[in-house]
Amino acid sequence: MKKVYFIPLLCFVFLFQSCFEVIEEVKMKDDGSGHFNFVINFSQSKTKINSILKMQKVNGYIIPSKEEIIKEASKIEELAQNTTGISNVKTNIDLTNYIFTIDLDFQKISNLNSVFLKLKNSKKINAPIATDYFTFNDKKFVRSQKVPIKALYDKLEKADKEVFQTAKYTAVYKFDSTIKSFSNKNAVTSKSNKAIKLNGSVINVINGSEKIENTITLN
Amino acid sequence: MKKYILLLVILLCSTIKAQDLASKVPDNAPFAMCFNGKNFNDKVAIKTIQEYPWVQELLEKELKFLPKDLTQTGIDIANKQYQYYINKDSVMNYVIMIPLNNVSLFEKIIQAKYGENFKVKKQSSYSSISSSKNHHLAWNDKFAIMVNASYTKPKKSIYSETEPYSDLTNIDTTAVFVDSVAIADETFKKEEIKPTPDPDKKVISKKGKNTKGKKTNKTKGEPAVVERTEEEIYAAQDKARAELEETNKKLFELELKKTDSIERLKINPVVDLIFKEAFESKTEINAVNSTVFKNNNPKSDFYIFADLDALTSQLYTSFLGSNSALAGIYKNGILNSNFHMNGYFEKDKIRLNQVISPKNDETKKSYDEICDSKIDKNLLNYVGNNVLGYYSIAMNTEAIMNYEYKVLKTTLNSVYQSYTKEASGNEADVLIDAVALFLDEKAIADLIPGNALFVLHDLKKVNRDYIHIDYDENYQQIETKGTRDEIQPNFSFLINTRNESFVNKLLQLPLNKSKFTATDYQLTNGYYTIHFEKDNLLENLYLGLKNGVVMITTSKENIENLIHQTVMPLRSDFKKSISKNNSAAWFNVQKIIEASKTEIDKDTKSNYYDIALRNAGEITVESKFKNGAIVSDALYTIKGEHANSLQYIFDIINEFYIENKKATKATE
Repeated sequence: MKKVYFIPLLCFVFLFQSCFEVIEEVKMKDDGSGHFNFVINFSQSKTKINSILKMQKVNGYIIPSKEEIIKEASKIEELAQNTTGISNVKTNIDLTNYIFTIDLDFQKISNLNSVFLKLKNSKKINAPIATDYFTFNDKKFVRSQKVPIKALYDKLEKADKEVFQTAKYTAVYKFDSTIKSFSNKNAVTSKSNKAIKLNGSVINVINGSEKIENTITLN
Repeated sequence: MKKYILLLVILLCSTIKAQDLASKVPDNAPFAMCFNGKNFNDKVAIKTIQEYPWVQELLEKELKFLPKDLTQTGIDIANKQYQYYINKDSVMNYVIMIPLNNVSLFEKIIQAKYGENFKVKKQSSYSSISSSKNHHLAWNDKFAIMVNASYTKPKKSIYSETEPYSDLTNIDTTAVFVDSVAIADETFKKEEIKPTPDPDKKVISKKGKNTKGKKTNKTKGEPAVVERTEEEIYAAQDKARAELEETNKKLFELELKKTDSIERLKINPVVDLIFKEAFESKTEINAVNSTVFKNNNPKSDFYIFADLDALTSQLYTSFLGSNSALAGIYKNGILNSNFHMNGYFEKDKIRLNQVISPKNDETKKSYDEICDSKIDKNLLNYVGNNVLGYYSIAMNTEAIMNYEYKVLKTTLNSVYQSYTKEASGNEADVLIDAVALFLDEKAIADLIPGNALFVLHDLKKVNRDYIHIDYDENYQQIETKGTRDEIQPNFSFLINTRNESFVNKLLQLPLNKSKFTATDYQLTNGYYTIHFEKDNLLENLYLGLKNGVVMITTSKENIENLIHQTVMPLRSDFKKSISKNNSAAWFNVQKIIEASKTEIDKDTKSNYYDIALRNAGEITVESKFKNGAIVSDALYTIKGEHANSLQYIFDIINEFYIENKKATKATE
């Protein structure tokens, strides 16, 4: 029986019409090294998650215990830690508010992409999914989206699909230098002009009406 | 949906010569409906209906073939209209009978609907038109009949593999005919097939040609192997795939044609027979005394009849093929009953009076025994006046178990018989009797005698805090605290028991278990408390037992009153409804919707929500066993400003329609 850690939580979130948010943050230094921060915040649905954790199964997924969730997080932490060019990996599993965070430093942005590849391989995902989401060359930072999310989404059961209806995402990229230009019209730069933020809805990204791709050129 | 409601209304606006059409409904129809057009028209006149904006839009767009003035359809709107389902020679037919008062107006509608595309066939006593293989319409100057007929070739029963002749009695004649035609056709085609040319011959003739034409210096022997390029291989593969797809497509088309002709071959004679029986038959059934309509209350607005046994077995046979032994399953228990319902659109409520009458005396007796139970009045003492809804049940557990043994025996024997011819039909008896030996029905009935009451007291609004991640002007993360409202159910579940010592042991069991630590599960003041951590759906769940009443509740007040035996008040009409029926339910839908508003996203469709809230009423359902039948009364009390409960339905559709129009305009 499959034991997927976040999908059951997501399913339950749907059952009670709540929401969650996903945050992706990259802080790039001029020398190409940087910091990555990824957050999934289920805080608004914590009552439901507390209930789901008392169940054995939801939508065909076995519900992991709190201990199993912590164990899974430490596995991810270890996997990232053992990747060349990655250091200071820290996961934070807040089982009161259900906020899951991972922080890490990378020497080169390609090291970060390697973590995604390792993670994909560890989950035995055979689908040809590219994992080089970020590139940084000649003062140009590119966030690309190569995952066939629509196709993957279409394969989900109806109940599982509903999970994403109210989900939100935020992408923040920070730099040492100021931003000269950027390609995604929905993104907004910070007051200092050294950071850029993109807010949106996960379902719109899946359906293609919103893009997360962005090419940021620095001064 | 709205289109069908409107069509239904037009069709059912009907009256007095009603019995004429009722007599056209076959006495063996397993399902029938009657709409009292006069009553409908009195409650909401057709003129009023056609004034509704949503009706006008329908008439302008989707139902263009209907006249703007719906009284000019030729349909006798002051007469009763009937519908029924019947299965004839494996064809499923849904028949609608429409009384007419002006056939020329009606024919105008047909002309407008079908135009010149479909031919009207003139028979001696009626005219007919078929718009597809499934849809047929026939009429004379008094009434029209619409038949929706469908035929699905039954699948071969998997059980017939072991018993090849078991379904001979139910063989489908047309299927055999068509299949034999198909075989004959195949044989004929086989004869036509030209012999495959001999490949060697071809080679020889080619060689001959070659030698004749020009002399070549090619060396004799093995031909040189030409290696194909990758592109050529792929091109050849694509070509072969395309050819295969083309062949498959043709095969599929042929299969469709075959299915289509089988269906037409089956459906047409059946539909013709239905038309002939309706228009030409002189022997008419006395509808008042027929099984179908004998319970039709003349005052009711609509009436539904179903022979559950015939209906289920006919539908089963139509879809899954016939197997007399397996069909025996449907002869079991409550399915072997007749069902009828009289519906009334009263001023302030919709009332449905339903009756399920078992055909079999033994089943009747079993139900009599099962329902020989009145709710333990002690359960009603600890409910209180804080009620949003309740559901009660009073049954005899021992009788239920004995009845289930009987049903299981018949079912399993039928299944076993379907596998083997040698089955005597009593094999399952031994198995079920053995199970019964291990189960002590009396002891189980002592533990759970069969009285239960669920009460929803409240849907409490609770404030939950959450963490939101925000950003400052330079996009540094800031954790902010937000609050949101959620609902928390407050309920009580009560059952009675005659075995207090066992229940006590059961309640004490988790006290010393590690899973429930002392803080999670506690015994205090004579009752048990399960305490949930913060941010759970429930805060506390209380369990207690006193004087034969077991209570599981979220209300501390209720559990304490049970333990201290302090009687709580309960509305007298609730008390009466619960005490006098085997099953009773009541829900205040308006209050429940109002309470759940907290959980609904405020931005989405809140206006629709307000319409639902304004108009939602109360539901009451009461069921008991009376005069050898299960009698249920369901009431829906309406809310809001409406002339009567029928108009209520039209008004609500209209409110939703107007709201939808507003929303569409806003998005534009």
